[in-house]
Amino acid sequence: MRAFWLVFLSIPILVFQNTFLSRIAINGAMPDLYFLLAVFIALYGPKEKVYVLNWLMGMIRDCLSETALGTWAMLFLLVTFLILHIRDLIVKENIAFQFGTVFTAIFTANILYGISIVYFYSPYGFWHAAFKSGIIALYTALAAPFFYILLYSLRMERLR
Amino acid sequence: MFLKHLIINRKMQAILVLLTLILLLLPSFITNVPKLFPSHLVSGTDSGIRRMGGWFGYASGDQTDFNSREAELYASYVQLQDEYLRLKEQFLSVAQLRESRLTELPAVLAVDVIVPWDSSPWRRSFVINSGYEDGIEENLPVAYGRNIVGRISEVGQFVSRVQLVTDPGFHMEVTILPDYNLDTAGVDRRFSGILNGTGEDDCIVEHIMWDVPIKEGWVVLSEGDEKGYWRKGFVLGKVTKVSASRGAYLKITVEPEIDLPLVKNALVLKFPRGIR
Repeated sequence: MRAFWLVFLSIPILVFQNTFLSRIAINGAMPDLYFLLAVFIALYGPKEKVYVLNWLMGMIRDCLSETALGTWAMLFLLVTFLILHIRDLIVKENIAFQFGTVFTAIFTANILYGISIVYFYSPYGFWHAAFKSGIIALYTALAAPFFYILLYSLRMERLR
Repeated sequence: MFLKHLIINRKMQAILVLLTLILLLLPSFITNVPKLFPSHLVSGTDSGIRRMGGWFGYASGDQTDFNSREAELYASYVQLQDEYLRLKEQFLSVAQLRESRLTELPAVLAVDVIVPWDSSPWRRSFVINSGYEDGIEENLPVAYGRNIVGRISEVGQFVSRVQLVTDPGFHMEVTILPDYNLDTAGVDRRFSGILNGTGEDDCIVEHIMWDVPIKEGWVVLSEGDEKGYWRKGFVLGKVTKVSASRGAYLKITVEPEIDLPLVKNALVLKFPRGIR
């Protein structure tokens, strides 16, 4: 499967997340399947393409948000950079590993974004932002093994 | 081979980071139009998925009974008010009164919400189907009946983004006053503060001293702004919680009266400038 098709697949996932999954949100925190897909690409995608793919996904998220253009793109690049450095060292099929990687990646990106919100707008304190980041990361990490089994069944591990 | 990949990756990384930094530094009036372009693509996917949800019994916002009929009623109300003023002027033969009243009427544009969500879990906004071709400008207030929904934050050619009152970037001077149905004793009491969105389903009002006797159920109304975009008296919500904050101020939680994610239509209001 061509890796760039994933960018188009990401849009229905984003819509699904913001229509159906928003119903189970806790204080605005819901499973971030879109970010989960980006982590999947960073873990299993072709090394020479993952940066561009995840940058494009970040740009799409920026375009559909109130944030400045480039904010999420930068965070997606950072997460891709971190995952690319560890992906050859560990067993990617292990559920505990998938849970841990997704939790760490999503928590890192969200806490950075949350700190920027606290710094620029201060609607709440740092601990509230950290708690919200933790909920988003936990929610998403719990969904990771199921989501990845679904993506394997679509033979996406053979991305090129 | 590995080294080659590494070099390609390093170059790619540098190019993408540089490009993203340039985009981040560009002023919003340059990035707004391309940024809003994918909304067209997503609005079709969104309505398709919502329709699928309807087959499975998912309520796609039917609770919101506000529709274009209310927009029409509001527009006709404005027209009737206009006519009333003209008749009054003729009756009184005061030409000056006519001019001053007519200029206070807002131009009202009924719009549809095409992407009712924000892709970031930290922000609150939606996209409407009108842009600068329809006369939309940044900072114009967006209303839903008598309630303020938000303000225009990004303007494209045919679509615009509305920053909701619950977005953390939304700040506004407000007045809190008693609900006269509940509290008839407090007719002369009103307190001003600054309303901020939280990125969740509510807002907070700050900069009100701790000894002020504000109660749950009091009404939060807009104040006019210096640039003339806003007017006094629009409803932002009701006080749901009053608690102590750090320092000498109260932390007042305000909940909008309407469920903002379910808004399907709204009104963009354009008041004549220079009059508050």
